Amino acid sequence: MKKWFVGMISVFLCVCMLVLPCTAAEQERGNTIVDHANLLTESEETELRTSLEEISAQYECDLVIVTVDSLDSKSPMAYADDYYDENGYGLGPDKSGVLFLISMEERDWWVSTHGKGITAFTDWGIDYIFSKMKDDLADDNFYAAFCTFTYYCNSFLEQAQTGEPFDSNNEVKEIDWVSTLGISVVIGIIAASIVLGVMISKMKNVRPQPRARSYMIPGSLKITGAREFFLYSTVTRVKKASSSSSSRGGGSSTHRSSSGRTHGGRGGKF
Amino acid sequence: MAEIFTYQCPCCGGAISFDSTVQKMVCPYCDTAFEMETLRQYDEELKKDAPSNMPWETQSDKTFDGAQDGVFVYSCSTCGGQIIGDETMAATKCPYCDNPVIVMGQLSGDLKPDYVIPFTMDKNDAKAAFQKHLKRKLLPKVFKDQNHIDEIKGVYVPFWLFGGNADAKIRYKAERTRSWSDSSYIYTQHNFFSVTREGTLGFSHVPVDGSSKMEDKLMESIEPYDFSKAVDFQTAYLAGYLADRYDVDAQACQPRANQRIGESTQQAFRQTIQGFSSVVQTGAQINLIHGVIQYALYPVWIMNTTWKGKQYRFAMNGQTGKFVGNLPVDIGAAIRWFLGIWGSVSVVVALIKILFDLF
Repeated sequence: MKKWFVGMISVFLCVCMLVLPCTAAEQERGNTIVDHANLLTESEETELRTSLEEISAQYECDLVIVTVDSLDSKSPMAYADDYYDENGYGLGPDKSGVLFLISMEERDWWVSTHGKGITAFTDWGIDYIFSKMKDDLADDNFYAAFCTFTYYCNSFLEQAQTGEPFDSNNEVKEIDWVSTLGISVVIGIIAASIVLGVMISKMKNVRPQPRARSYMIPGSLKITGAREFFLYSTVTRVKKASSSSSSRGGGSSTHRSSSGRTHGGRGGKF
Repeated sequence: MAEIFTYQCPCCGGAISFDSTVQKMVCPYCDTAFEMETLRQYDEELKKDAPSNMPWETQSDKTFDGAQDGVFVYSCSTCGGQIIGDETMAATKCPYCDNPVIVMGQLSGDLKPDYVIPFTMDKNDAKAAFQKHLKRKLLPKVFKDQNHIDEIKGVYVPFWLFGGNADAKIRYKAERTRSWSDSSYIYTQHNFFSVTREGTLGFSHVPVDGSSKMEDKLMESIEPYDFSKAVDFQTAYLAGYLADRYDVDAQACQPRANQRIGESTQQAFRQTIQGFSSVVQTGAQINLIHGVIQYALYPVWIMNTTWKGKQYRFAMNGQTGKFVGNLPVDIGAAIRWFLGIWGSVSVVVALIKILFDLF
């Protein structure tokens, strides 16, 4: 009886010893949304978490949004990289993932990438995604900005699966409704004004003849004196437009974090 | 006072008039056609007859009174009806018997034109041109529907013709540029030159409207006239049309002729300067030498219509058929067209932009 009980305990311990490290590691992996700065409501958080986790699982690339009030005197880059490393984020063998950090203290943002995240989110790609969130972030519409982030994470990861991630030489094919509307309305007005101008001017064809061209005697033009002489000269100069942007190769710039892991990423102020 | 005169058919005695299609005098009663050359001789014969023929027809009392109001009364040589006209009227139609009549005194002596360009476009051509002119999308529909041409008149309008050589000396400042660049700047060298052109340019028969009744702008709009088709003046050409004698003298018309000749001279001289990126005229001195002024009658079809209290006047060059006249704009139609074009162009541009975004 006692022997059987000891046996049971030992088996249970063995099982625990095998299982616990795994569960402990699982628990170590932080939350998908860490809202220290309290920018989101409970329901918004739940909704975002659901979609982020769905996408993470589908592409095996962790998606994390972290908001903080202060960076603890670290740089946004260091803070984001360390947060990623220390909280065990990342999926798959290469711990792939993307962490989007918002710090309210100085209104800093940083996107830290690791593993597959580095290839899927190039420098150009991160700038592109930020450009789509910029207005919402500036207006403190954080939920809308994070939804945008989620949406683009999905499309960037999907594109990365094809082996050709979005980059400066492989831009996002997306209809820009604002500029489409603006351009079409303006060109429409210009075209209509020109056509109407011509139509209205055709209604009025009574106009004086300023010249007497038709009454010139053909061949009667005799130039008896033609002189040309140089007066003076001036030189103006215009600075050439910098052509550096055209030669941008794209890709992702990487650096090493304090823990020695390679991270990609970009950031700035909002 | 002035005498009224009707060309009578030497064949049947009916009143004959000029036919623009055959360019002859045709009798509407017996269809006989007469060469203008014959008429010229006939004309001369008639001039000898005219003074002795009808002295008793002049109604000195009435015309004298009328003259003070600018109204002149003539009596028709065919039916005796009274024709009211003004002091510049040279040819008209009798309102009673519709026979063409010519007021001889208006076109003799100093008032006799040197040339006339006969009508080549008839009344039907003018009507057709008018209908074609009305085919505009912005014309109010009611204007087209309600449009009653008050009157289509074939008028010989008096013109002063100015000819001569323009002797000009024109100075310009011209610029020629040269560009090169190094690694960071684009340089442009602007070289300025002084350019002078001296020379002469001949003009012949620049017309200026000599009738104050005709708006100068309207008359210039139907130009040009081809003077090579002009013939020596004969009163017979006026039969069947209206005609006025000039009431603006050549002196008063000169500035306009000078202006047009000057502009044309400057344009012609400017075209002789090549190889510069910009040319600015800095001074011009234009003198007219051997200036000649002649007096001619040019054919014009005139029609008037009144719509919404506003008078619209149309004119057609009786020689070339060029038709002019301002038309009212239907604001509603203009807005509809604007919105329609705006909408359709915007949709097309938007579609192109979307395709461009996606591929």
